[in-house]
Amino acid sequence: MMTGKQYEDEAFASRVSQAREKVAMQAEGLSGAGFNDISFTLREGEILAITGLQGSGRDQLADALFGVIPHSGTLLVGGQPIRGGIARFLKRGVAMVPRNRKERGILKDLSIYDNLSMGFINTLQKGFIVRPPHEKARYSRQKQALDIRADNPKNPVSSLSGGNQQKVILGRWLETKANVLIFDNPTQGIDVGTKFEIYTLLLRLAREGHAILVFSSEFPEIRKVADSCIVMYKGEVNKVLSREDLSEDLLMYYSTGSNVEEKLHA
Amino acid sequence: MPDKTLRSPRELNAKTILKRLFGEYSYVVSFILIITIAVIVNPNFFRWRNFSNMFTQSASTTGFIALGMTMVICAGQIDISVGAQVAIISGFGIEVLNTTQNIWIMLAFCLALGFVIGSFNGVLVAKGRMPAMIATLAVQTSCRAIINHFGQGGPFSVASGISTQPHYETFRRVANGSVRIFGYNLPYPMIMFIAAALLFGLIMQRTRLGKHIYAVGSSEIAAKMAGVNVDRTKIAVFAITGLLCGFTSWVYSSKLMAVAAANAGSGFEMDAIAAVAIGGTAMSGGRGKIIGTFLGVLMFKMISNTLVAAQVPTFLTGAISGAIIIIAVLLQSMRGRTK
Repeated sequence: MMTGKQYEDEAFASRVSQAREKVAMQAEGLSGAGFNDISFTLREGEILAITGLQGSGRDQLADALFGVIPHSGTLLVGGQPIRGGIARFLKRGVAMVPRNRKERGILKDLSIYDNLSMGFINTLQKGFIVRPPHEKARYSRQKQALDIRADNPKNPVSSLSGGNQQKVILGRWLETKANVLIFDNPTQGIDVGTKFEIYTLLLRLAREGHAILVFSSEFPEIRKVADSCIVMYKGEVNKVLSREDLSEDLLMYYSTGSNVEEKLHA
Repeated sequence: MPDKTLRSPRELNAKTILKRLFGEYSYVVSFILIITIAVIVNPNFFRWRNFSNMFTQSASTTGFIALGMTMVICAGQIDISVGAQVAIISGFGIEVLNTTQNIWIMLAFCLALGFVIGSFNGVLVAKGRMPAMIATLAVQTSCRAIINHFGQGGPFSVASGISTQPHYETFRRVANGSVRIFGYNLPYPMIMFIAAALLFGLIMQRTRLGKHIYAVGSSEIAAKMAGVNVDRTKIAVFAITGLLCGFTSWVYSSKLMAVAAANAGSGFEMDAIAAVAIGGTAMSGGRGKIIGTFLGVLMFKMISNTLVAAQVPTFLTGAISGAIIIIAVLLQSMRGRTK
């Protein structure tokens, strides 16, 4: 049986940031229910992690960046300001692999084909008709790219293991030309081996030029993939740690707001 | 690395076949069962006339509505206003026919009114965030009250004074006419019902709307996160059901040529839901097929015809549809528990 320890840093330690010049997403003074005055710049090829404890506003920020809840302040996608709901965000190439896969990610009664094609159907598809051969082609493309292991793609998606369900949801967006990918707690309830596969996928997607945001509370995960990490505390950005500075102690220090509390008591 | 995701290739043993037969394809099993009983009770069952009558009766009552109800239930909703919709649309529709003497204007009117009432249901549920049961109950009561008021207790009849005019006979033929193909009489309602079932089957399986309906019924939040416009999908299913109520009203009025405001279309909602339930559609949404409902409608008709042949009092048929819903849904929930 393989454990996480064996993977630790072997493939990930040596990696260098793939960030390019072009800015994919930029937030300036972004506020909303549960978060306040958030600013960051996300470039193509960059992987930016955002962490924080329960109640730090992390979940709400993730939702706002995909148009699930409204925001105030400036949010630029590809240099243009964006407002409105999920449909607008999808149209501009922002996609999300949501947290709580079982409730918010998979469409449990639908087949693997339909789950994978749902992104395309809702964005690029012209006209009303869904053609099964096209669904099949999309599936086999992503099956190969993401190494989805499924017995029969006509089965409900809930027949797959957690990791493969997550790959189906990722594949859903890779079929839409999305270039800003938001992963909200992507490895929740996924076995160790598949977690490793997902990290490798994240790095590959960044290399291919996708701009990637990873919302996560797991240090080993952040350590493996992130170019830098925003630590949130009480709805605000408490600290931005670069890859070199990243350590579990510092992450805990800033996410519990110890620096703020110390100042208060000094 | 051990791979838990790959099961042994397609276990096709007797157990899995049985499981699928009683799970996914339960409507086939019930269909065969009910045909067997029907044939025993009524030896003339397979006579073409009996067979085509079954279609005509279904299509001029709850057949089309059950197709829309399948969409509504697959989207995780319910519509109990359909019977009252048929009453109000038929009543006013007949008035329109009497005034304009044109069956096509009447059809257009029926479809338009059905679309308006259905969309209203949809907007209450989607934008007003009302539970579908409450919203459609309120619409049901209102529709029935309005048509009772205009009917003043009496029926709406296609004016008999004009029975000498050509459109009277034309309209009567909508539900009672037939075409003769290869020596068989195919009643118009039978043709219309089969065509509608095919069309709706295609919509559910092969279009964006169909995929959205299953997605919304499966999980609203997951559908939303996948980019589905949940509100629009909900409004669409109710509006389509309204359209089908309008179409049904046209056929229904033609079948009866006079409808009584107080009891026209009464019980249609229960019959339609029962047909959907025995057709194997999950009452919780997300799963179900038009072919199941198609067979469900026929099964329902067979059951009531069989009961008539077995001389069960007609007033008890309501109890039968109640029992059918209870049995079908109980079976579904038992299946869900063993999973």
